[in-house]
Amino acid sequence: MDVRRVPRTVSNPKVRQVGFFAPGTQPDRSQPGPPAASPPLSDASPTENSLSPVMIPPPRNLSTELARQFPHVLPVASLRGGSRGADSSIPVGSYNPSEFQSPAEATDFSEDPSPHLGRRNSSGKLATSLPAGRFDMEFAKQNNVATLPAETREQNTTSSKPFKDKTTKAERRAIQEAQRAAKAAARGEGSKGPNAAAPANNNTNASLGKLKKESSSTAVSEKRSGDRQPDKDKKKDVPHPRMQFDDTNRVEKAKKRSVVKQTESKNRVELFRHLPQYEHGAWLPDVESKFFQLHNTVHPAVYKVGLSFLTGDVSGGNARCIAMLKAFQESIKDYSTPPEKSLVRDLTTKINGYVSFLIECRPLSVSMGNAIRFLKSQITNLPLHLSEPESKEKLISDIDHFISEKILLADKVIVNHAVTKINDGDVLLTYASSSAVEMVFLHAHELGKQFRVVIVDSRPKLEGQKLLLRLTRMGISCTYTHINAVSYIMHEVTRVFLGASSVLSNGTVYSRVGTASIAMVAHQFNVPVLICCEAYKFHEGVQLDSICSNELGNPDAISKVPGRNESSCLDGWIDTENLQLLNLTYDLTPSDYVSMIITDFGMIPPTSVAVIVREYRHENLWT
Amino acid sequence: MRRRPQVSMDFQIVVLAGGFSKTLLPLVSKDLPKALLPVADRPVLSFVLELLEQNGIKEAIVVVEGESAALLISAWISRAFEDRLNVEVVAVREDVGTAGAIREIGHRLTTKDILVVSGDLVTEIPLGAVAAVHRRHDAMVTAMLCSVPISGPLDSGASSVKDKGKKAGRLNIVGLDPTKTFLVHIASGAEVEKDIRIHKGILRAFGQMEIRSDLMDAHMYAFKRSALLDVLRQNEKFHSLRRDVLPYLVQSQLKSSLRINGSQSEENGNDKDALHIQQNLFSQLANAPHLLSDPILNQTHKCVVYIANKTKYCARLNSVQAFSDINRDIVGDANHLLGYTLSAQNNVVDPSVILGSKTTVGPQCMVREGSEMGDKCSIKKSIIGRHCRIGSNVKISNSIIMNHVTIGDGCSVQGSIICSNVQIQERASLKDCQVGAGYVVTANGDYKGESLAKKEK
Repeated sequence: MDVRRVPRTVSNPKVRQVGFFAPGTQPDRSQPGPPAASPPLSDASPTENSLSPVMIPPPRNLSTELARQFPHVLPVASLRGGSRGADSSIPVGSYNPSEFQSPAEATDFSEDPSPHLGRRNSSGKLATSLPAGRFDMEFAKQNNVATLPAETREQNTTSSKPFKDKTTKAERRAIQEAQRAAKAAARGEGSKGPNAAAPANNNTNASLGKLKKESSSTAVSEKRSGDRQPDKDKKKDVPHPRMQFDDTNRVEKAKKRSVVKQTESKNRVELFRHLPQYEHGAWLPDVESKFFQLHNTVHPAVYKVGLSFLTGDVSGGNARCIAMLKAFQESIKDYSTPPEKSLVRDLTTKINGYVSFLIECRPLSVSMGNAIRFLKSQITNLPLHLSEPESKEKLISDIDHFISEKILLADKVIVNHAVTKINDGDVLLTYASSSAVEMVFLHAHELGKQFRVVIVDSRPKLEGQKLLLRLTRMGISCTYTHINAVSYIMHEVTRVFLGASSVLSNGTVYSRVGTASIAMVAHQFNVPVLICCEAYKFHEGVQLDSICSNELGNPDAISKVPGRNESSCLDGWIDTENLQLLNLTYDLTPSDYVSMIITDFGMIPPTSVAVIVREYRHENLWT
Repeated sequence: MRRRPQVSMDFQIVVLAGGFSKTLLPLVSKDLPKALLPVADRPVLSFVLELLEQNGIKEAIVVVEGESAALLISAWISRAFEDRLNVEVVAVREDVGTAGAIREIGHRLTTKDILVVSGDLVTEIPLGAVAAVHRRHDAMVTAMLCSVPISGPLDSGASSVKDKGKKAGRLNIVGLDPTKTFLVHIASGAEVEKDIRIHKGILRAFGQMEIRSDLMDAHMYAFKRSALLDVLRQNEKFHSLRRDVLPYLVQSQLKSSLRINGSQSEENGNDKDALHIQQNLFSQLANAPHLLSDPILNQTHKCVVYIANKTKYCARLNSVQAFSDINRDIVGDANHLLGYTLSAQNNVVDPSVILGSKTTVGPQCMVREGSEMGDKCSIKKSIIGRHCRIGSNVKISNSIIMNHVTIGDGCSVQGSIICSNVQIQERASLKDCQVGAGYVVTANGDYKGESLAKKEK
């Protein structure tokens, strides 16, 4: 049972879990819609909820159960079987079978069209499985069985908390009524009653709270209920929302903390005010001149990595992640616990300091965030009996394992999968430069497949040129074009291979800006779009647009055209008050346009990303 | 683990303070090594040490040639920087050169990289920047180049830059790669004849090369310790870092880059055009497509440059001329380095100074405490040290007068450097002279462009 008990990691993901809805949290689905739709639901939900929650055996339990029964079952297999398991309604774990509803009902429910999630049937089915997990928890609690996943409980307490104080009078009244109704219902239920009421309350509570947060476009679609016991210790687990740079107070505070002096650029793009927009020119000299001042906070290796991020010497999700992990490894090698401090705590704070330095150099990629989370959880989970050298040894080898398994080996698996999709005579299109895609091409070429590559590139980074250089050197015939011509070239393309910075759990691909256009054009031309992305880059969050979270590049990069000095109409743009330059780094490709995601767990439809995130969370990549 | 706790980002700072430099005679003397020469009444070494302190460096090794100079310098440092910097003064044999000095202190160097700073550098360029660039590229050597100082040469027009460069031999012909990060070629001004020869391998490796002569080697280098010590061990006769070690490293970088790039089938047809490039030609030879411009990224042996911002002051005190230039700049254009606030007249006059009637102290002047001046004196663009006694009707311009100097009535001192304890008797006239310590200039003497020093007993 304890397999499921994943200890909490220190990090705070922005969004807990995604794409799942329960009867109680039904309003969630209408979240992006008008808020007016929800209030009646708060009245309706308790009765609906407390009495007949839709119960589906949670695939989480199922998979662990399966794993226990058939230890040799491949993880992918058990994962795939997740939805099937739900249908066949195997009672597992701490379930009270009497609480079960027919799985058919569950599927019906999941068919319910939702505006932005689970467009496909399969995702709907999968999605329903999680609320079951929640109820699992509730019932487990009432039965006083200590089998519920510890982390889920914690999440519940924490996620419900922020809403508590926000309720208005009317809302409080609604809650009270809901509670009363729930109590009455519970009394009818008998012995289990009082506890069964709890989820109802909290659901209404959560849903009310959500109304207030409606404006946020990050779909926090999974605010789950929890017990209402105030628990001070857990308060710090409340996930910090992403730093919003239009919040002056917090920006001021962050500035005081920051090591590097950053001046905000004058002409900030209004729509992206919540993202850091700094003047890029002053950045590097400042970091450079602070070289010796930083030696207390930043390890030389970390400093070097930060500098190379800042200058763009190292870019690309995998490269940055590996560079960062290697630097952390160096710093752990040189680390010695100061007297009267514990390694776990002190090292964690050290790593935090390094991470914040790296963030100041360039915002973290999702892959790096996941890797940091992994490392931190490794630190906190260090066995107590290990001595300092042993702990260091273990951490260093953990990092090595991470790099070799999650990145390098994953790439190999991806390449092997992807190569099967390349046939003789194919014309493959790729955009910018992705290390995974490049490896796929090279491997396919080694296998003697006859194909042609179209490299689509875009200013200002022109990353595709380097890829072009390497591919042509290997003797692969290439076509190089800019993104402007993509609709023309797409006629002859048979497959599109793209890399990704991250894949979010609604199947959205977060990648180099321009990827979305490519995928859209390919979709229009009925060309399959294959995304090569290692699973460690998956993110449990959901994002609906590329505005709320993105990275802004140096605006000068788009204002200046190298080699064309005559086009100087943008010179001195910074002084033009009504001109703002926007150099976005990433965009989102909706899962509609993605035919398949090739990952180290196999080739999956974009809707299955959520499953992987959920099933493999015990690997500490996602909390 | 053997490693010491992190010493300032794994960097050690070595300040080469020199000894009794011959080029600076008669300014230096037995009691005044080069490092302690007063620039605006502060030893020149203090500028470097304060720069270190500003950059958050806690430890440094100061290498001095000769025991006696080392004693003087360590005495001064322990007085002035008592709890500010942890400075270790190391004496090496005289005339071992900069390379020899590093060779001798090699066993004290433990960190991954070392930063070698010349003790006669007066600058505000952050050391950290040089170190950071070095680290970033993981370079073998990083040299700091700065534009020629804001004073002097620039005022008198570009043509004199060249002449001066040749005369002083401190201007280098520097070849840079297109991104201005890598040092491709270096030759000091004195060696440069009419043409410079560039190996065609350079151009093959880098594609383009920019040749500049407006950059000065500031004698601040970051070295990879192991590599530097290896080079010094293998080449026993290397004497100077600038003249021997740096060109050697730059050349051997080409060898390795040749080897690496040789395997790549790059088409560079027009090599031979590049063999002779006229001096001072800012040429860009675009014989490689833009795409191929980073063939050396995998190279292990990199020579990197840090080109200092033009607005930052940077000068080396390595000649008599430089000494007076720096002194003038320090109270003039670059007065932010000085650490004193200027008065309304744009000068620094200590309150204890006694000025006679109708005596004027012009802008860009500095008069230190305890000095006395008679009537009708005129001081322009000059620095006067402590406890000087200056008679009436004395005209001083563009001069540096150190401590305890006595100047008789009616003297005229122009563009001269007067060391400590000099006595200038009545109505002497000095123009562009250097007067060594303790010298007595007789009355009514008239000297132009001479170097006057007491005979060594």
